[in-house]
Amino acid sequence: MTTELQENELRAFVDSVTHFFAHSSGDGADVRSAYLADPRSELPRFDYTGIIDVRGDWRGCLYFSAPRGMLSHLLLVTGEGTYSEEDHLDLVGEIANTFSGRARRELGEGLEISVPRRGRGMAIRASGATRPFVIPLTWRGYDAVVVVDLQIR
Amino acid sequence: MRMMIVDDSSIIRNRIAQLANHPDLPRIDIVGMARHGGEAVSLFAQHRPDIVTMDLTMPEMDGIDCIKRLVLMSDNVRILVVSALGDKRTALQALMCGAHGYLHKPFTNSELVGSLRELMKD
Repeated sequence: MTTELQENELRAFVDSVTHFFAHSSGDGADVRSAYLADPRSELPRFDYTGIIDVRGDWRGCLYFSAPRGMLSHLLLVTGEGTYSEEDHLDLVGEIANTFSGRARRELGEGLEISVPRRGRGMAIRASGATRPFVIPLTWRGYDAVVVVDLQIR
Repeated sequence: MRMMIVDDSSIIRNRIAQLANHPDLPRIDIVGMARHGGEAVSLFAQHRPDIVTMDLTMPEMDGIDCIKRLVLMSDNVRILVVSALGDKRTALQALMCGAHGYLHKPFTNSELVGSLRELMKD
C-alpha cells in the first residue's frame, strides 16, 4: 500500500528549492504554489533534467528541469569558467541532488537518494501510483520546475 | 598542505580547487581529484594527501565507505565532508567514521574557505 506525499512533507522540498537559490546565487527564486499534475500526461520539463531516484521509506523520484539559459547563468554566478554541454548536465544533476539531500533534513535518512541521472530533452512520465507535485519557480526571468513524484511505503 | 578533492560533480571539484587558492588559506597543492570513492582510494595511495574534501553520494563507492578506507590507510589525514545530505544522522555517521568537518551543499565561497581553515587548524 502506498500513501501520497503530505503537505508538510512537500514543504521540505519547497524549502530546499528556496534555500538553494538564496544561498548559492545570493538572489532568491520566486517559488510558486505547487500543483498536482495529471499522471496520464507528460510531465513539465525544460531543456535539461536531473533526476534523483528515491528508495527507503519512500518510493519514486524527484527531478529538476531547467532551460539552458538558466543553467548557463548559474554557472556564471558560481564562478565556473566553462559552459560546455557536460557542465550543463553536471549542474542540473547537482542541483537535483542538492534539493533532495536538503529535504532529508526534514524527512530523515529514510529518504534514500540515488546519484543523479541527467539528460537533455527527456520525456518524463509519472510513476502512476499517485499524482506528482509540480513546484514551478522563476529565477532571474527563467522558468524551471521541480517535480516530486513520491509515495510513502 | 596537499589536498585531494572527491566529488562526482566536475563543477564542484573545479570550484573547490579554485577556492583552495584563496589568499586567506595557507598554500594548498591539489594532488588529486576523484569522481568516486574507488578512484579516491587509489589516488590516495599514490599521492598521500594531508587533507581531503569528500562528497557522500557518489557512484561505485560512496563517501562513508571511502572515509573508512582512508582512515585505515592514514592516521593523519583530515577529511572535510562536502555533501548535500542534510540529516543529522548522516553527518554524525561521517564524523564517527573519521571525518573532521561537515559542510552542507550548497555552500558559499566563504563557508568553504572557513571550513578548510578550521580543518587545517587541527
